[in-house]
Amino acid sequence: MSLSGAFLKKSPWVYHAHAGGCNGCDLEILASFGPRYDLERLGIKLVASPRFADILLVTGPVPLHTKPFLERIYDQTPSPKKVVAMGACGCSGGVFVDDENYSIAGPVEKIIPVDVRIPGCPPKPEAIVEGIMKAVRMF
Amino acid sequence: MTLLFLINPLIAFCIGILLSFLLRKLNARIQSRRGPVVRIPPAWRDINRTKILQPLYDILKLFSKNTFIPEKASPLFIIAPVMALLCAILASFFVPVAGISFDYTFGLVVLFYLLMGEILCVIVGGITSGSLFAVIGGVREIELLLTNEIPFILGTFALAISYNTLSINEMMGFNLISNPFAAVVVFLSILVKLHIKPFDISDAESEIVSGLTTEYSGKLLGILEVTKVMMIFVLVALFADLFLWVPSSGLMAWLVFFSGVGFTSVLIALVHSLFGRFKIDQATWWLLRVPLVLSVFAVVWASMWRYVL
Repeated sequence: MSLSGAFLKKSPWVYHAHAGGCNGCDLEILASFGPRYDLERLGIKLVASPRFADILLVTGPVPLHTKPFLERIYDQTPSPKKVVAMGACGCSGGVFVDDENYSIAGPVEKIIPVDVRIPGCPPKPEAIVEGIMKAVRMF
Repeated sequence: MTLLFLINPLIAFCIGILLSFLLRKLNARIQSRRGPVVRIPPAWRDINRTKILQPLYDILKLFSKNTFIPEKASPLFIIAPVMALLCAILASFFVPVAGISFDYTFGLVVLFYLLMGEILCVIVGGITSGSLFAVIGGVREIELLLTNEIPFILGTFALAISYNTLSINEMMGFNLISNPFAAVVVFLSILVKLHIKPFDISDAESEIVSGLTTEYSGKLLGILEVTKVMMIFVLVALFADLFLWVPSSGLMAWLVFFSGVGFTSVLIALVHSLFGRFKIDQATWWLLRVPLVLSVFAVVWASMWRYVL
């Protein structure tokens, strides 16, 4: 484990990249930062800009028109970074899995490298906490 | 005068980290969350044992990350955060820590310029990044600065009038009783300078992506975080010195000073978590209506006690 990894583990900042999800996952993210599953216990913070972020939390099946933005967000995140794909759509495409779908650029892993997948539609806050902790332990 | 004041920046940084932890923790507790925990549960011990130093971890992490410099940014983008940090360090020399400071005859005036200079450096750095969000944040910050600086200066000058000096060390005392209006005004100005909740318009995360710091990342953001931590301590200590200080020496002085700092920071944390955000026009109008009138009143009150009664 490198020195930067030791510090990154202690204060990972999460940026929520919304890539065409249905808002189910987004509500569960809010729940995992709320009073019951408070992720700030571990120093994890939701930040407003990808430039501050260490972990990208991507939700949604990535429609074609969102693809360039997602790539740009990934490039804008400074370098020790992890990507967590969240929800059935983010992991595998979910109900949009059909190859003949004209508007979907595929699940997140087709566009940017993914480190952790959190399945579920939407995933429970417990699952989100577990997934983020897995990404944190990878630093 | 001794050279003891040279350790003031170190104290400012260390205590500032604890104060910003306190702010986060109290904010979380009032929202019925846990906040950064003091004792981490056994399952997560491999990451860390305690989160009391969480702001320090944030800063160390930012310094170990990559830094992006936008194509359109001018060299000021890099220089400005360093200048801001320099201003904060210099300002910490002039604020007495348990009575120890660089005791200069016009210390108060120098402190005004340093506090203003820190904010102006951050504004310059943000605007030169070429981001529209930063420009909007900068405009809001300047509007706040213009309306806030008058009450702050009048409020502290009320004390200067009643003590007939411009040296901070000589006007320290329990002035909360002798001039409560000045205390209220200076407290409100500190809220604006620190971007505490009703006045965090210039770095509104949800609308303009943290405003002036939008384009900052990695090490430069780390420098800005260090500046923020030091500014928290400098302003809180200034309030504790001017209004909550009981003349004493030795260990007692440290006790009095830190209880004042603790009281002030708890008060700031309460305000931060209990209020929503002003719109910019509401904030400027409110700052012109309430603190400005109060500050004029404080000056009149001080000169009345000094020259009439």
